[in-house]
Amino acid sequence: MRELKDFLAAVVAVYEPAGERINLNDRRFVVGADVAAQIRDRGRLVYAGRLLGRTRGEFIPGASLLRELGKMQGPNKVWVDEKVGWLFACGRDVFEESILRSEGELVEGACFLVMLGGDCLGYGRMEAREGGMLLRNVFDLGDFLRRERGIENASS
Amino acid sequence: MGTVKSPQAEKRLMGAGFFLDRYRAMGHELRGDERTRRAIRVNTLLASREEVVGRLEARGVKLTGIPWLRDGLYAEGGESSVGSSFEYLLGLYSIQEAAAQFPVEVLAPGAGDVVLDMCAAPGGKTTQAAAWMGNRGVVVAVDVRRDRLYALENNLERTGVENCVAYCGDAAGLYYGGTPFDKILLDTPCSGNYVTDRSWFSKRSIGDVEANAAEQRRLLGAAVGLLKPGGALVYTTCSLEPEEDELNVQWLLENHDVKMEEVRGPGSPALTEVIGRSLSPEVAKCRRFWPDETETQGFFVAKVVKP
Repeated sequence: MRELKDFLAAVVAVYEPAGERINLNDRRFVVGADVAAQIRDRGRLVYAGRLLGRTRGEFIPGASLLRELGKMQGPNKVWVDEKVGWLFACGRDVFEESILRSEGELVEGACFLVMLGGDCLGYGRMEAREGGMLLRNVFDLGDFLRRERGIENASS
Repeated sequence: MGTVKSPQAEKRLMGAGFFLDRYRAMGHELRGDERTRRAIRVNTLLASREEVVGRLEARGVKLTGIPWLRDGLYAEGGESSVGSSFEYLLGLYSIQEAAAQFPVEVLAPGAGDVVLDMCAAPGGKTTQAAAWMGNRGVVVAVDVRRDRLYALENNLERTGVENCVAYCGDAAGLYYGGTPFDKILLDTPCSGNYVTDRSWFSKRSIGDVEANAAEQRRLLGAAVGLLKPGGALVYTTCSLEPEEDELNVQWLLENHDVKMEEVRGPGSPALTEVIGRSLSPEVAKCRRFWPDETETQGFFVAKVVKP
């Protein structure tokens, strides 16, 4: 997973939001001065400012970082169509032949943001398979729906 | 209020017949099977109304502006649910019932405000307030239920909110640093209404309504104490029951130094002669949403200012 770590370090280096960093419940936030001034009771705090990503094990960029990174030159990217994009958002991997175009070399171990037009849907890591490459899903925005359903099921 | 009733007496004070008779006495002939229209709210932090309309209409969703809301649209049709589209995942809109979008419009939080959202989960109104504020100022969002706060956190992340601090706790008892708030939204836990809950008539009784009303008064009193002079408090429920609506506002006027502000919009003025009580004419400045008038769930909105 060295490549994944390097990729994440590289993409985060492209975009480094200003503000105070707060680590809370395995998540990293960045907060501006106004928001920081309202943080009183850290024991009861569950969310503050802008969520950069999750920090359990590897740092996993969250939606707000992906939104910014998707707009920038620098990170490796692959573009897919709606059908493949939706499958990716449902947690599936992307076959090499489903990639419409790419920025960055499609080699084993390389990580790529998955783009649908101008929107970043998540990212994955290239793996070799018989007859070609496969972009293994690491994180996708469908995580929101899966979390929502998990929350509904837990509440019901 | 708050009297103990025998189980037999309680049984007589529940059920569709009892509640529909009650609404009839308030001037509304309801069927008991009214439903809401599906509505979404454009997330102006991440998208324009035109962008959301263009993208969803390309998916076959028919969108119609809700005339009394800034960012609200009725949504009909479409191949897939508006709750599972790329645009939803990207945070370009939220699914939010039309009446539930109204309180933040009445509060009208601005860019520099420090706003308290006292019963914030699952976060529809919190994210709406942040959008009104353009991610500037601060929304302090509090909810006592940790399980419901996960949904709020999910919504904050999905919709790109950056100016929110969220706490798990009793909003009336948390320490906020002693600085009063510019604006407070108190969307209290309430009995709900039959329009959004098909089993509502079979599970609600006047006993529940009175218990909720007591808790709402506790939160209302605390909210006034947390408000700065000149600050505005919007109190809202999704209940049609006067104990949780007009009678609580009457209690607020009798027990706290606040001034009613007229709520303008759809629906009807609140009632001043209700369930045998004569209330202050000031209470009529609040707004009631009746399902047969507004095609929304039952709803109540009051606004007061602290002198």
